[in-house]
Amino acid sequence: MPLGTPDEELARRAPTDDAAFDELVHRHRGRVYAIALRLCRDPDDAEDALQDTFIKAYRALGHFDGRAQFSTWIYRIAVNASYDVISKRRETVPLDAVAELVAQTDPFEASDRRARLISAVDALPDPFREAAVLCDIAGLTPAEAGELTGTPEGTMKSRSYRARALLVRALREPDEAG
Amino acid sequence: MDDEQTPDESLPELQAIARELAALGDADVPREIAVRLDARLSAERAATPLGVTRRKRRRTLRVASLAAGLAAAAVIGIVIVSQLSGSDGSPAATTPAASALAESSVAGDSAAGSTLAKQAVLPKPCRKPKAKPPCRTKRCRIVRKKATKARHRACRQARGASAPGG
Repeated sequence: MPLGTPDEELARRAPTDDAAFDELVHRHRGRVYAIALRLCRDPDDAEDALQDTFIKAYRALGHFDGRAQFSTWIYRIAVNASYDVISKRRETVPLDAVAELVAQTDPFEASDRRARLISAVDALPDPFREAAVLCDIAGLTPAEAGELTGTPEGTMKSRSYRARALLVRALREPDEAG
Repeated sequence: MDDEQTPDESLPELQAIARELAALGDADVPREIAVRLDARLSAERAATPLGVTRRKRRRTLRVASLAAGLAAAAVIGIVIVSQLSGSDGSPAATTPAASALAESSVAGDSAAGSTLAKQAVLPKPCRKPKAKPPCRTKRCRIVRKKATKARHRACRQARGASAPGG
């Protein structure tokens, strides 16, 4: 599979070509996992969401019409899969107990600066963390993120801006960020 | 942390943090997670109707290509055998199956000869018995529209010989 092949072309071929779908998985699994990890704040849940995302995408490939970018489409599926996993988890495990485990147990989060950033993101209040994940990690526009979460575009834009500001402040003061 | 609070961070700092957030998704997943993902996707492919359809299509293509290859090999074999037997020209060089086929064709020729002898005596049989006979006598089965009077007469005579009064 040529490296320069656009995602949309691969998505068009994927229903009849396993190699094309494998290439799409290879290209996007890192960001999908990052989105799921920051939304779920648990490596096991994030892995469940990762698998669910690509299973759902595989089943729904026929519905991808190419009007939106493939990346936007798959990240929306990832966000929904993460919320599904979170809603299931809330029935069984308290969130506070899970949040304690996150940054220490995940080998995905290695370097110091990166670990501090991740800790700061996880410490954000839910609406700001959601905005940071959707707008900055997933790369959705405020309008798309707002549509996904049922929030007005202006509010999502404001939250994204506020989340960045809070992260800057948290990383300036490492003692308070942890 | 309410929405009314105004941050005092500079724009470059905000842009830098946005880049760092975007970079969180650049790293690939850990190897064991990738392996488990591949295994799950393989299981999904094997289980879904889409996967079954693909497998059937691949199997059909394999069978079709195999059959085409066998047919081509058979045709080539037949051509080679026929050319070898044709170049020799002697009956002894032919296979038993070929000689049996030749005997049956000879027997068929003798039977055909007796049939021709009968046709020389009787008039030509009608080809379309359901069509309206042009001849007034109902037993005449000649159906050609432009049949000559001589043929009708011959027909009547032939029928009259087998069934008088016709």
